[in-house]
Amino acid sequence: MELKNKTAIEILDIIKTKKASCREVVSYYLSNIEKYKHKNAILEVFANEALSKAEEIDKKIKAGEKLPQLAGLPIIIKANLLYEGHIASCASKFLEKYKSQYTSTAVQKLLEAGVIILGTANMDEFAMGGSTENSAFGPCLNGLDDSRVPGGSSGGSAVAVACNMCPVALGSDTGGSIRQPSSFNGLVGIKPTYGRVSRFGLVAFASSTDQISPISKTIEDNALILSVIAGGDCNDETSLDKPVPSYIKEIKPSIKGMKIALLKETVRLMEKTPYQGVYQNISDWFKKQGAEIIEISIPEYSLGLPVYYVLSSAEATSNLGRFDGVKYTKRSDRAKSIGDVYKMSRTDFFGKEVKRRIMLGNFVLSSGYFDAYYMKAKKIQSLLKTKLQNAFKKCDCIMMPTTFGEAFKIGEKSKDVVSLYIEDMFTIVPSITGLPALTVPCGKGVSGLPLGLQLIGNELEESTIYTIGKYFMKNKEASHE
Amino acid sequence: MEQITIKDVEHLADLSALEFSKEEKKEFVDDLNNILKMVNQIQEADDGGNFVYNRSHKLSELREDKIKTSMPQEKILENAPKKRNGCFNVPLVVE
Repeated sequence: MELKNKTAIEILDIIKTKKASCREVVSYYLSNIEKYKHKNAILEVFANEALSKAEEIDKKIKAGEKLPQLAGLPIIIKANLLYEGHIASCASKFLEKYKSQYTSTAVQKLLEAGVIILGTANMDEFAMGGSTENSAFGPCLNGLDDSRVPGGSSGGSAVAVACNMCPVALGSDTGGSIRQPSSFNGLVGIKPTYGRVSRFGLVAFASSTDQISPISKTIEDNALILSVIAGGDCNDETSLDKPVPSYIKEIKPSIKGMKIALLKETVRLMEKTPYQGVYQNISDWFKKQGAEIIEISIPEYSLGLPVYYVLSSAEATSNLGRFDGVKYTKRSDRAKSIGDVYKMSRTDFFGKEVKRRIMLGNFVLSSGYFDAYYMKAKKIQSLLKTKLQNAFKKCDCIMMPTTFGEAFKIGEKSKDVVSLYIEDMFTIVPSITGLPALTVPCGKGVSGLPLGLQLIGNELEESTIYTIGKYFMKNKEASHE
Repeated sequence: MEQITIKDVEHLADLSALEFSKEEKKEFVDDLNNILKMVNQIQEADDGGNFVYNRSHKLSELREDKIKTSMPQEKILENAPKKRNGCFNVPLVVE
C-alpha cells in the first residue's frame, strides 16, 4: 500500500478498511522520521510506544471492536504541549528534562479519539521566533529546501507534515506561529478564534493570544482535527463555552455571493515585493467565481506589529517568571544563595531570544514606561478590534498574503532582530484581535517555493474561511497542477 | 524618544533576574534600541483614547466548587532539581 502524501482522512480509511495495518502505517511514518533526521524537525520519537499502541488497535480491528473517530491516526505534537510522562522541552535547555505531569486538554481529546503520538516537534524556544532557528537543540530545516528556514515557531510540526513524518501535526500560534510555517512548507494551517481551543497544558508564552491548532495537507484534515480539539474547558477560563460544529460538514461547496475584502494597507505593503500580482489574480479569480470583492481600509493595520511585540513580551515576562531554578528540573551549578538560584539558572538555561523578550517585556512594564508602551498598546489593540468588527459588518472574509514571500534562507534574518519581527506583519492582527485566520498554499515564488494566502474570518467563523480555503484549493490551486 | 543605555540594560537585567557580560550588555543596548525604534510608532499613533475590554462571547462556566484530590506530592516534586523531605530544597533564605 502506497502511503506517501496520504491525508489524515485517507489514512483513517486505510486503517479502517484494512488496506494496511495500523502497525504498517505507524512504521511508514517512523521510517520517514528516520529518513528526514537531518531536517531536525523532531526532538523526541516515541517509536516503541507508538508501535505497541498500533498493535493494540490492529487487534481491536481484527476483533471487530468499535473504534473511536481517529483510531490509529499518527500525529506529532509541538514540544510545548504537555503529554503526561513525556518530555515537553519547549526546545529550551531549561526544560530539556522536564517530564509533563499531566496532559494538555487538546492532546487528551486527541488521545481519547484514538490518535497515536509519534513524537514531539522542534520549535523556537518557548515559541518565540519565526524561523525555528532559536531552538536550543539546533535549527530545523525547511521541509522542501534544506537551505531555508521552515518558519516558526511551529517549524518542526510543519516540516513533519511536509516530509510525511505524520499526516497532521499540532502546533501553537501566538502571532503567526502556525500560519507562517504552514505557508513556508506549502501546507494548511489555522489559528482559530481565541478561546476556541483550551490552552490548558500549553506552556504559556503570551496567554492572551496563544492558541493550539493543527497543520495539515488539506482543509478537511484541518477541520477534522479542529472539531476534535475545540470546545470549552473548565481548566481554561478563557476557553469559549460555545458548541463545536463538525467543521467538515459546515464546509459549503460554493462561494457565490460571499463578500471577500481586500485590505488597502496590505495591498500597498505587497507592492514592494514581486508578489502583489499573485494576490491580485486571486482576488480577480474569486470575483469570477461569484464572490463579491470589496476594498476596505484600516490605516492602523501595520501598528499591529509593534502592539504585538509590546503585549506579547509583557505577557512572556510574567509567564516565564516561573522558571526560577526551583521547580522545573534545572538549577545552575554555580548557584550558592537563593538569589543565585534565580539569576544564574535563568542566565544559564534561557536562550538569547527568550532573554531579549523578557528584557523587552520588563521594559514596557517598568515604572515610567508602562503607560507609554503597555497601556498605549492595549488601547490600539482595542481600536483595531473595533475596526475589524466594523469591517466584518461589510464582509465575510478578509484576504491577504500570509507572508511577504517564500521561506527565507537560514541565517538570513538572524542578525537583524527587527527584520525577523517584521515577517509577522500579516499574521499578527488576527492574533491580537482574537479572530480566526487560515493559510492555504497559493502558488510558488521566484525560487519555486510555496506562497500562502491568508483568509481572516469573523469571530467563530472558522467554517466560512474553511469554505473559501477549500473552494480555492479545489478549483484554483488544482487547476494549476 | 530617549535611547536605552547600558545603565537601563543593567536595571532591566536586574528586574529580569538575568546576568550579562559586558559584550552582551552592549548588544542589548543596540537590540533594544532597534526594537524600540519599531515599537515607537505607537507613540505617535491616535489610539482612539480608550481601552475597552471587549469580548463578545461568554466565558466557560466556572468549575463547581467541589473538593477533588489534587496532584500527589511526589508527583509535584518529580521535576524538582533538588528536594528534601517532601519539599523543594533551596539555599538558606532567612539568616
